[in-house]
Amino acid sequence: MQTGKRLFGVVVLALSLAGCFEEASFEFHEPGVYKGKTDPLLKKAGTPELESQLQARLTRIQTDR
Amino acid sequence: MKLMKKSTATGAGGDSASLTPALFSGAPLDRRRFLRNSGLAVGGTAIASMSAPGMMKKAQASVPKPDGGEIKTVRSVCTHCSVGCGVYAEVQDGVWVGQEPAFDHPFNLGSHCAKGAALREHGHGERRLKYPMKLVGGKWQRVSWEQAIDEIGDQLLQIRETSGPDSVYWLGSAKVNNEQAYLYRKFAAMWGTNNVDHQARICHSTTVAGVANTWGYGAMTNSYNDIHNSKAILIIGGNPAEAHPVSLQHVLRAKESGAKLIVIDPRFTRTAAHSDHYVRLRPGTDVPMVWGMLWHIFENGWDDKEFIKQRVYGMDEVRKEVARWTPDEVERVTGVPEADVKKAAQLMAENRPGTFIWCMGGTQHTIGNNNTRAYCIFQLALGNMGVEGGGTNIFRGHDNVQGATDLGVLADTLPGYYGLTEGAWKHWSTVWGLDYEWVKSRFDSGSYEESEGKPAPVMTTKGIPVSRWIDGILEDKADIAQKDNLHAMFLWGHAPNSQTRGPEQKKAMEKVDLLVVVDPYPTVTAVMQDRTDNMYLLPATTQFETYGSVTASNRSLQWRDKVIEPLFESKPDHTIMYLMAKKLGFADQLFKNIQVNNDEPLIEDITREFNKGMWTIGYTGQSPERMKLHQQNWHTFNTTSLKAEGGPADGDFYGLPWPTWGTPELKHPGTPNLYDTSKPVKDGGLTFRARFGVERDGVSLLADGSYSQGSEIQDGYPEFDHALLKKLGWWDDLTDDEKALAEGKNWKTDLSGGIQRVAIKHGCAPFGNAKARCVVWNFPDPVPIHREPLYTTRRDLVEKYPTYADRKAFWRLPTRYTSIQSKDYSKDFPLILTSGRLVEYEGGGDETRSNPWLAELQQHMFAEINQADANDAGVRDGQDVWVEGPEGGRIKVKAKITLSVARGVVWTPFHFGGYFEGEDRRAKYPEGSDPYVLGEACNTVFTYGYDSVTAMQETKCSLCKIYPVV
Amino acid sequence: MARMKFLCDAERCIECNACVTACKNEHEVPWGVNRRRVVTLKDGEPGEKSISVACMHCTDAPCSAVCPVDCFYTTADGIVLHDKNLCIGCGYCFYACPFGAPQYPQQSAFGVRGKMDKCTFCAGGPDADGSAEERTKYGANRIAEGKLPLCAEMCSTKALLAGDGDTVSEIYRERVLRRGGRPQTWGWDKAYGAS
Repeated sequence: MQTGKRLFGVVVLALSLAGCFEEASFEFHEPGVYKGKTDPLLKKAGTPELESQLQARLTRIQTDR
Repeated sequence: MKLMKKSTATGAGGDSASLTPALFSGAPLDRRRFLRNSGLAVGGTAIASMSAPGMMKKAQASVPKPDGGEIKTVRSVCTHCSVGCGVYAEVQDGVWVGQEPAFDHPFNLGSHCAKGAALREHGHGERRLKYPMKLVGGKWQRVSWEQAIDEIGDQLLQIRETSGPDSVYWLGSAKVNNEQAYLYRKFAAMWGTNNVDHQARICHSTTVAGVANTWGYGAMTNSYNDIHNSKAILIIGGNPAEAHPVSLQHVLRAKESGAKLIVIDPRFTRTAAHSDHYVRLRPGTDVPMVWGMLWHIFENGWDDKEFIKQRVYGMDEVRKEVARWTPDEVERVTGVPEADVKKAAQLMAENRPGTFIWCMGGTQHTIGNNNTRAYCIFQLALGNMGVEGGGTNIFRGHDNVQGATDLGVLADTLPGYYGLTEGAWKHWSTVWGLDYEWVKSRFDSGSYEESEGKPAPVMTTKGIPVSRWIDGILEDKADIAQKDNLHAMFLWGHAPNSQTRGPEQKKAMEKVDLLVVVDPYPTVTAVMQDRTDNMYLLPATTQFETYGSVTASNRSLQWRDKVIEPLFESKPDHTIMYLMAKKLGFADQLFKNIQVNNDEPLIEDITREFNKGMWTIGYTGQSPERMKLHQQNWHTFNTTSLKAEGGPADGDFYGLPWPTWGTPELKHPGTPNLYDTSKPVKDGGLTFRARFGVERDGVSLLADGSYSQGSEIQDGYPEFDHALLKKLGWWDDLTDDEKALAEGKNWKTDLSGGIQRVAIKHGCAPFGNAKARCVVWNFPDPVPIHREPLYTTRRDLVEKYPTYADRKAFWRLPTRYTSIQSKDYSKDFPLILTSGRLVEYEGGGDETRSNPWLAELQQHMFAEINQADANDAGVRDGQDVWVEGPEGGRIKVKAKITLSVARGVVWTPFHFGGYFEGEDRRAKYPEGSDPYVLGEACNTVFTYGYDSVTAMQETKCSLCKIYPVV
Repeated sequence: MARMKFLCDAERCIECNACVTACKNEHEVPWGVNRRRVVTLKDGEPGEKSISVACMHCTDAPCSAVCPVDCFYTTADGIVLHDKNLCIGCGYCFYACPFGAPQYPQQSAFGVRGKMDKCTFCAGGPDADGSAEERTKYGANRIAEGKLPLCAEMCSTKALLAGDGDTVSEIYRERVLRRGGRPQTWGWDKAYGAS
């Protein structure tokens, strides 16, 4: 169980910190160049409008209220 | 493509069941992975046979169409348990195309369990019973509704002629809405029988009887949401993580705020996995466990003496009984060491208010009523009653089992717990606008029993309970306390596999002249018998194809809107009742005050009718208009107190939890926590009910110096009637119209509601202000005591803790106790057999095993067996084993070897059906309506045994032996 | 910019499988394919823990790194998606994935591997958002409608969280702090504490 806990802790840690870091000398495994169709969502994803909509939804539904 | 250097992700492979092998290698297989191995194959077969030609409407697109009509959101309530989770159903062009989290809803805040999150499958209904069917020469034949009603009706009238109305049994349901439940009880009354009952008998009847006889009402006292306020939570005989998953949201919120969670159960459940203190007891030893805790509480002076003095009667007699339960004796009987018992008691004593939660593990015993009363007494001793965060939070089962109980789909009462007395019948006859003598004339004119030395009329005699309908068919006619055996059996929304004594049940189904199933699914009834003729299956709708009110466990009434039109040829239950009543000749009386449109009785008229009569428990203030207002304003209710803060329902508690006193015009807000004296009655406060008289042997039963806030009578008082109002000088507070109706009446029978209004105006509870009683002098065991189960492995305890004597006529039937217990079966059947629930399935599982999204997750019936017992029996994990009981029934299931049960205990889920003693009976289902997953019903093995007050079946302690299938 | 993340709070997860059926419901995922699973450790014993697992939408996604036909792409908010027209169903991503997320629906009676299927964070695929084609191949596209994954939105105890990683961790951190002082609780302290 100790191992399980520790591993789980690592996962939790990784998740909690995801998105927290700015820039560092991490090694990335460079993916290939995507060869598929362009997803229309790409235009929308990350836009302030969609982000604020998703943000509002997150706090409204997934919190204890 | 880039090659990578990472070292974490090697070795993945194998079947789809082994998720995250690298991360979790070495972990023992969990329940689902263990059982899912052959999943794809089973599913493949099931899916392949899904579109049986001729039986299916062309599959409708069930996803939103971009070019389709407007998508509207319908508000409903989940039908899978008593939590009452709100549902947002998205409907386009009449098709249920989406389900969104109802985050506004105060109970679930958008959350669902596996069943709730799979609700939309009800809009597909692929495995539903689609048309009325008739069994002819062993084959199912499609018939028209007209033909079915006609043929069934003719036979019923014939049976009535030859054997009397009591030879038809009307087994009802907790899965219909309040309006349908009420109508069903009234229907049985118009037919002229008390042989009407429903699943509450076999889930919480011992709770209702035990709790109501302690302090007045037999219901959950607080609410799921109120658990936020608890400092300690004790769960005994319940596994809400699987049976009421969304309730765990509230439990875990409390736990996060510091509450201690204690779980007492023979099995280490998913709920136990989240506990601070888990106690494993031997099945059937709840009374010793509770008395063992109380022993420490009394010993250490942790009891609330002021509360007991003011609000409790008879605690001294409890002290005497508790004194016998020394730590040594408790350990000898329950198997729990002193330190564990003391820790549980101390956690509850030091963390007040604490709530006490129980479910079927406590209720389904021959001494179920003793258990439930012991639980209540524990809470009284700690002063945990009538406070936020305290209470006895009894989690009811089906979505409307509370409502169906309240509305009297029971063999021993009319709606509202009025009982079956002449007065009760007169009250309801008045509400129905019918002549009492006409109603009486519907019943058998003879008498089955004596009351006060005189023959009692049949209409005042309790009927046969659900748990015993098979005996109503099988017993010798001479031994039954009614005119004749049962000759026609209606299973109107009932899973037979949820009942014990499977092989005898099969025999009963084969013997009865006429067998009728009314249900959205064929149910196990369709296949577990080997009849060849005279059986009908009538397709009813689910609650998503109709509308009306439903009562959650916390007594809140919620309104459901209709999501979709009835699928296939199914009809709503109230429409079927109308068609049947018309055929049987009492539709005019049954629907005297209820509008009927195209054979469908108007739901709102039915609500308004029961509003007019349900004064006892305050089902009078919940008009359709008020319930609909709450439904449209879910977001305005506080998620802890359930109180509307502003908005159109300002000040109301969500769902107007009963009692909601008086008429709707009185605008009573409902009662969120029963017996809470910190609030005025008009704002939802309450006292203990004066239900058992005002004194006993010279000792007052009324409260002593305790009263609800703002009460003008600052002490105990009896229940209100016209005479008391006059004596207090409050009579003239009634209007002239009220006076006309209230004269000669009491708070339960005054149809004006004036007596209730005036009592509340003066700060008083209409039902009086008394003490709760620890001694129920009219029960077999006035102070709860331990009695060994009928089938026990502990022969050494039988002499000291024997069961009851056999009875000649109990609920019209001979009932055995000691004649069973006196024989030692434990040599041949050395293991204790007990049962419980899985999160994916509900009840008998006909509905949920027909939902592929759920069925895929639990594909095999299994038994949890301790590794030591498995080794002793030579059984390996995953192997097929026989589990055989002392009455001869046996089942072939997968062995799940585990530490979740102690050595000597075998646990099985009870949701499976469709196999019988090793035989797959899938072919017997009407084509295309067989559930995806079938399995052995554990109740094929479970044995005889009935509670000494309510005739609850014993499903938690039986015996078995296991041996490998060779 | 937001990065979409899942987090499953093991203190709250009760293995009720709502996340699994919500996924089935929303995307009409066929029998045998499970984009999301609940895994239980020490089932039936003290110390039992469950967590819900699906595609974790890795920042540096191994599936994407190994794909021989380069069918994976990542949205600006960090959702890893793929084009099924391009996918050859080879299963190499299944080798690479640390969570066993990729699924291979059967496409014929002979059990030939189909195209890879996995959790899309309810963001569909490269076809037109909300189109019938996208729905058939990838399921619903809730993100395009401004909604988050249904598994998390319906979680019975709000154990499973999905959304912007920063906010998700704020919600989780708040809970963990509330649990503080409960020595028996396994959470923040044990994950980040000195021991």
